[in-house]
Amino acid sequence: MEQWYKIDNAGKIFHAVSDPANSSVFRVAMIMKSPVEVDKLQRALDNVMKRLPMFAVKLGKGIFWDFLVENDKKLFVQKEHRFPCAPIDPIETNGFLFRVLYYEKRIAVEFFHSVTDGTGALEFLKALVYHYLLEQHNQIENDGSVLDIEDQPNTYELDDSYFNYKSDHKVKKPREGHAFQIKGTPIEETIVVHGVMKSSDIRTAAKAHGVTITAYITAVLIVAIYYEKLLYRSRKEEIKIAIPVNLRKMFPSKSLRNFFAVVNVGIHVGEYTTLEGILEEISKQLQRKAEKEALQLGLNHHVKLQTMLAARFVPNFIKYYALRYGYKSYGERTKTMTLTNLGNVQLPEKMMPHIEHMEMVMYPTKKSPVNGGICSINDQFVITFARTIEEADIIRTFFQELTKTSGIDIEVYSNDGG
Amino acid sequence: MHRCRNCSVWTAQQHCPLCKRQLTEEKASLDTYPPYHLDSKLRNLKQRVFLFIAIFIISSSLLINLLTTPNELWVFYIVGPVLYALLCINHTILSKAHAGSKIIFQVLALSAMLIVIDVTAGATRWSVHYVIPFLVIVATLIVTIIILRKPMKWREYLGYMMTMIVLGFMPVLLFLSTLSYVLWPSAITALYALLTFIGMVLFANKTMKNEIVRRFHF
Repeated sequence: MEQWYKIDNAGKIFHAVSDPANSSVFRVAMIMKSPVEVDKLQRALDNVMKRLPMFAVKLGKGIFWDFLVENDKKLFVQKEHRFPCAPIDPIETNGFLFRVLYYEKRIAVEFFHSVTDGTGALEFLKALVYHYLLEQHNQIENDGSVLDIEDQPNTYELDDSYFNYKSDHKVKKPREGHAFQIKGTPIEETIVVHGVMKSSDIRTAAKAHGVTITAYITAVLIVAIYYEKLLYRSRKEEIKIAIPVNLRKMFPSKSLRNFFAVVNVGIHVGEYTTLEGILEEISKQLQRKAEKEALQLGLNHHVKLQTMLAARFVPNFIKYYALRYGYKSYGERTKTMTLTNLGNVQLPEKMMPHIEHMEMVMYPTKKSPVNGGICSINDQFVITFARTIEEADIIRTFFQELTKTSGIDIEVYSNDGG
Repeated sequence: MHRCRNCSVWTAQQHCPLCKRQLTEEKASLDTYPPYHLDSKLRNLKQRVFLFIAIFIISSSLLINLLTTPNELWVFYIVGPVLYALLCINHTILSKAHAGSKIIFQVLALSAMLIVIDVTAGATRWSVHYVIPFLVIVATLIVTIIILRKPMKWREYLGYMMTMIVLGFMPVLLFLSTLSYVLWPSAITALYALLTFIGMVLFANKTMKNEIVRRFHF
């Protein structure tokens, strides 16, 4: 009998709101030290797929909710030929909701967000690269930082942890105000710019200000947005950065499906606001909003919306229309940009010499046309900006400001020509 | 590696990725990203060309009709088939949609076209009386044959099959709403839909029960 799964709480939203201008497809990639060997990557993928059935799914259409159903076809690795985070065409992927790509030294996985979040995708990529290196006859001991494919698939990994960890606290979430929205000349392509620097340098810079790396980067980003978009504007709206938080760190979940929350941190920047002031405020907000209690309330609120009896029996197409409206009016308008940080990736020590660095690409949307993704490994810290507008002004000023305030060397590369 | 003084960053690219200034004369041979080719653009272009041709035919026919015989609107004999041809090309032929959805679209589009022609020709209702009911039967039969020939695809086509069964009862509704007043074709279509449904329940009861649970979960 074919296994099927309900789409998790967050996944339902991504499924409802995705369209060609908002692919809901994100990328996590490892840049290897040597060019990728396709046949070995394919064999590694075949092995990993057996262990992670929750990713081997296709979309099924339901009356009240769509669902994910086991896909027994083969997923083929593809040579990268499209822009990062392009919408997933199930015909091209044999029905799968993610793709495995290679190009020269890059091994990338691009997931439709209804299947999993950054943490789930990262676990998949780590397992894939580990087995790819084993296929190359490398002797690498798994120290527990990579999923063991000899193990049986664990039911905890399939858990919809939103439902599992919802509590009975009745909450009325305060409505969040609108944030400044970046506008620009739309382009059909997704342009990515990666900025590579030493993790130790950026850590030292953040430490010098007494804040975390995420708070530091967020503050510099806010400064860049202010200089480029609001400095000479009379109406100075609040600049808010949406930061996804991995809920597995707060709740003991082993789920490989979506389990994250988003906290919006922001500030009204004025003529006399200093970087120190922004850093202090952002740091304070991050600490307060990322506390377990605050996240629990947000979690309850989202689960409540979808379990409301009235919402459950509304046919899909009406529900999706309502979700799209809610997403555009309340989700997208309350943030200026998304900045996601996958953190410092741990792998078995013997894998490290084979990996140059990593990339995390967060798909841009119509109302959030520039988004950022962070990932670090091997003392290589990479910030990636993906945009679907012509203007790179914010990104340029961000790197200028980062260099100015921290004094570190940054190397950039992009998919935008030579 | 070159330094862009304007952006304060280093890059191996010929132009700075941030400000586009040329940093070196040499063309950099980078292996970070592939050159992109957009084949979907070509398909979209084809679809737009056919849409333009359809608009051209319809608007010129409308103009000729209004200028020559304004009392007799023969333009609808052209509008129906042209729109149908457009759907055939842009959806049935050019799109990558599922075959099941193509069959359903064909039933709906053919029905709409026949109704337009019927109304233009004096509204004797031959379309709703006879043609549409049999069209639904033929489409249901086609889906049944596909499923019987490829039993592995049974689950994939189940949603389309259910839609066809629902459509099978539409002619009866047309009869009950007095839009159609010839009973026997509508009754045959409904019976055929009912038999198909019973067949599905009898021959694939477990799969079907599971499929219904999935599709109706809330």
